[in-house]
Amino acid sequence: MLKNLRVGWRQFAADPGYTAVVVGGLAVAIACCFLVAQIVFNQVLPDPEVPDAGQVVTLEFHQDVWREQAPFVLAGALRQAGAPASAIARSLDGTTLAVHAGARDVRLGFVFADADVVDIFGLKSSAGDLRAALKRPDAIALTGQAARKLFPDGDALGKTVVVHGHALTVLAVVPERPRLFQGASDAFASFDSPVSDIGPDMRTDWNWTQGNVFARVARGFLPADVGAAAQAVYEKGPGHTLMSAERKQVLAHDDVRATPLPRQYLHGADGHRHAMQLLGMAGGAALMLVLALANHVNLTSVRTLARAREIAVRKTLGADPWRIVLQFVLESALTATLSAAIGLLLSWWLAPTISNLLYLHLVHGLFAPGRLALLAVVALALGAISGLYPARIALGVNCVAALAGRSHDEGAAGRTARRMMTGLQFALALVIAGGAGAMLWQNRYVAALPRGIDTAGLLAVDIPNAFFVFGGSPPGAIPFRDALSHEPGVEALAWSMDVPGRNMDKTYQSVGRGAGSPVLNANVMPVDVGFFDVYGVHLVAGRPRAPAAVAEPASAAAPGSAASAPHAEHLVVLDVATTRQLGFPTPQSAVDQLIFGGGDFGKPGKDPMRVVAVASDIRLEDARETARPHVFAISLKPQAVLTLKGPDMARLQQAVARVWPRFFPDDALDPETADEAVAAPYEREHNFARVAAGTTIVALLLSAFGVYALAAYTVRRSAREIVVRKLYGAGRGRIARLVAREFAPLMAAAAVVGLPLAGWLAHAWLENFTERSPGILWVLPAALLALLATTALAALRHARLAMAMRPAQALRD
Amino acid sequence: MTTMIKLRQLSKLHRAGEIETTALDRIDLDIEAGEYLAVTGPSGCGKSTLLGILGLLDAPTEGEYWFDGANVSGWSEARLTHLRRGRIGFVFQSFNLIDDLSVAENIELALEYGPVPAREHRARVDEAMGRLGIAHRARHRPSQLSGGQQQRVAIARAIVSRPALLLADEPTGNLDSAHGDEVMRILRELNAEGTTLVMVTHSPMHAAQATRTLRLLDGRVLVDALAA
Repeated sequence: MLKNLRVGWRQFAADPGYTAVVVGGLAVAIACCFLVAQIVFNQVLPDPEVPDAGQVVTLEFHQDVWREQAPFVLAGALRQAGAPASAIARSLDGTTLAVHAGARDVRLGFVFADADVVDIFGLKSSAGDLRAALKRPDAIALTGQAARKLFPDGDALGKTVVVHGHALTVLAVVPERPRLFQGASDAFASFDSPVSDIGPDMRTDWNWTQGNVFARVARGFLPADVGAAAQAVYEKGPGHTLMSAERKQVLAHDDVRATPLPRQYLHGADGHRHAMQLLGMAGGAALMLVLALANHVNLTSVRTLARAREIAVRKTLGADPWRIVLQFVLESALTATLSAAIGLLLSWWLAPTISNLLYLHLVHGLFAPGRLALLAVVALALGAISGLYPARIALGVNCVAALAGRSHDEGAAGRTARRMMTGLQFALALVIAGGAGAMLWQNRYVAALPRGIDTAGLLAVDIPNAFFVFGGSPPGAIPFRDALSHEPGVEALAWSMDVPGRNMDKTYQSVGRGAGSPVLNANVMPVDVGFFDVYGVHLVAGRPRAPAAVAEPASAAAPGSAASAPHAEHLVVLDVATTRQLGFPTPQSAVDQLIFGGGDFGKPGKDPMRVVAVASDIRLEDARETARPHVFAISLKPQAVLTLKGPDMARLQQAVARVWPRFFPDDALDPETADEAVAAPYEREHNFARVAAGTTIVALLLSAFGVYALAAYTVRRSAREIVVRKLYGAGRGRIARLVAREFAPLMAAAAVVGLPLAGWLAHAWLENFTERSPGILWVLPAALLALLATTALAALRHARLAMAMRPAQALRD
Repeated sequence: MTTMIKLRQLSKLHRAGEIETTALDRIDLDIEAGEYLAVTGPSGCGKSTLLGILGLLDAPTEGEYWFDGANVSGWSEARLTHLRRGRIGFVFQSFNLIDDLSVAENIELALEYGPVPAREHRARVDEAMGRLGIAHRARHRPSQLSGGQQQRVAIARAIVSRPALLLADEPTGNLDSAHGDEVMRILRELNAEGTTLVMVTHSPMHAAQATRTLRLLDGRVLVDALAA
């Protein structure tokens, strides 16, 4: 057996081109499959360190779509109602804060959570007491890595760090648990920690979702029991009471549910998107693997024909049929094993990049023994199976003919099999290219969708702690803006609740003209009067004006929010579509009219809003959602985002960098351009499309390499025919057509099979969007042209060799 | 002397579509153990086909083939392979060495499939290389050797399992006269030691060195004569 492997190894070394094509192609395909398997292990299957994961649930909340977050108030309400849960905890992650330890400043991702999260997830400390750290508001727990960054010289336990001016004692050091929380989790602190800045509104509002509520189901009960208890508690609460009857009917007692951890990824909120993504990636990886295997089998079977003499010698010397089969199976298994090893290295290299691009956890457990063993077994099995066809060819070698130097013919059946595999390669390459092309095309279309705002040249800065701003203005915000307004290069500034189109913070309210008129669920965004100039909003009627300082409600709260003073008049700007939906015959007719907001879920509100201007249609939703009505409420108070406008982006960034530390010394500065912010919702898809484009290139290269080798074989096999035709006067074009004849019918067959499949994939992809690119089917002929071009290039060299063949030389040989 | 090989009314037909070609036509032939038989004839007369059947590489279409007292006509390829192992050695015009293997490995290949235990392989290979004068080339690849050296490797491979029958198909066809004479000398020595030798050759001079000559024409035996 070792000798067979030695022969196989020497063949690799003797023909590095063949080796690179076969092993390289398989390695890439195996890497793709392994990374998809990582998604299954790391994201679909629950964290194995969570004990009895099926009894751990996440409360999910229905707000037009299901969300993984739930109102924090549900945690206390469930406890009071005696819900069947042995532990319930709130948590908020995704906050990055600057942590000071002596002279060291480190930015850490924080998780604020109730102590019960320890029991729910089976969290353990490497040192100290995590539960105590989460119980005390003046305590903190650090991961080992974070502890080493802050205290490289010694033990962190018992030491003090400072965050936002608050001293916190390190009471525990914990191992990394990258899967548990969405954002980076370097530090854990109590939900009631003073640095969490989780304001009273967030803790008590029944419709506000910014974090998670987890529970461990009590023994003897089911997750559905906790879900039912949560629904009952919500229906008794004020959030449900505010809902309109129509909306209650639509939701049909389906406001809150408890999703068990094992079902979270594929069946929870975002489950459909995850499933589609996983299906897409698994499908792509599977296609790549089939393509690489077909390439391997095709090229190996051609090589087997070239080894006919060696096979005949072995048979002559007494090799049993099973020894011949074993040799080829082992050589193929060697190829697959080598490819798996290189594929594993590729996975290790690519995992961090793809994890960042697609927001996945691919790195954890990459070299876990169980997964490596699975990889080895699958690679060996694939190798063995793909060695069977070449072995079959070897068994059919005629010893007498081969030993006499006559070439072994694969026979009609063999030629058909080889052509089918080549055709399959072409079809797969077409499907991959077409699918990826559709993604890229749609992505491009979506990025260019008119939004009604102009984000070019704008820099957006998130104000720290402004989250919770509706009760007052964030400290430092106003002097920060004032200081910036005097900086060179800053032409204009504007407050807004969010960068329009970034879609991170939204307030939905029911808005209408009064009794009997249509009620819209509109996105109400507080902005200042300069917002419309800064963002280049085109106004078709009226003019925005700032409210008189005395006329504006004392509260800076968003109109209609809990903290807003009721019945105070707000000045608003609508877009044309909103005026139409509200029943105004023209945009002009809406100016100076009164509408009413502040309602929840279809129930008309009572907060008066005076329409001062109408803008062109604005679309801030991503292309997967239907466009919503937009109401911009003009306020004098600072908001969560300050946008700067100026002719030179670098000068804007320098200005912010200069001014920021004076007003927010404890907070990290992280500005982004408005273009980047607006592209953020599409970033995952854009990255997905980039990964798909990379896959397409590999698929086309694989099929090109396969064509290259097959073209060589075709020319070699047809040498005599080529020579005879030349003797009788065939020109270069006729000879080139001879080579093309081998591939043209296969390409046609591949187009018949592959293009409809690619078209179906493109259509399925578009189904996810409400805004769909009209010309997307043009990617199909483009994919076919790309395949034709790569095939022609790949076959070119051997076609030219055939055309240049000298009859006398060939006949002599 | 015992009869090692008996052919009775043996025919071989080649079919390609509707075309049928008679390669051998009702051959009767007896070969004694230890005999040195030269097979001659023009191209296409069936010499190599006969050698293939004698070497159990091909099966006759009609007739009987008795090898060492057993009628092997109709045997499966697996049975023929088993019978061939270690008992029949082959030397070809084009050497048919495997270039991915070294000289020593090429020779050892003949032992890999046979009954000789692995612990004896090294000694046998060394013995064969020593006999053929190629021990100093043990690690070389065939492509690094001259034609004469390659044929000596092929002969070493053919004899390493000490076969009872050695079949040589134009063993000097690709060699110059000096190397050809060298190969013929080795073959004569092997025959003198008791190995039955059947050699296909175009060379009357080499055919004359055999104890018996068989001349074929159009698949039939034209002359079957002992050497003068």
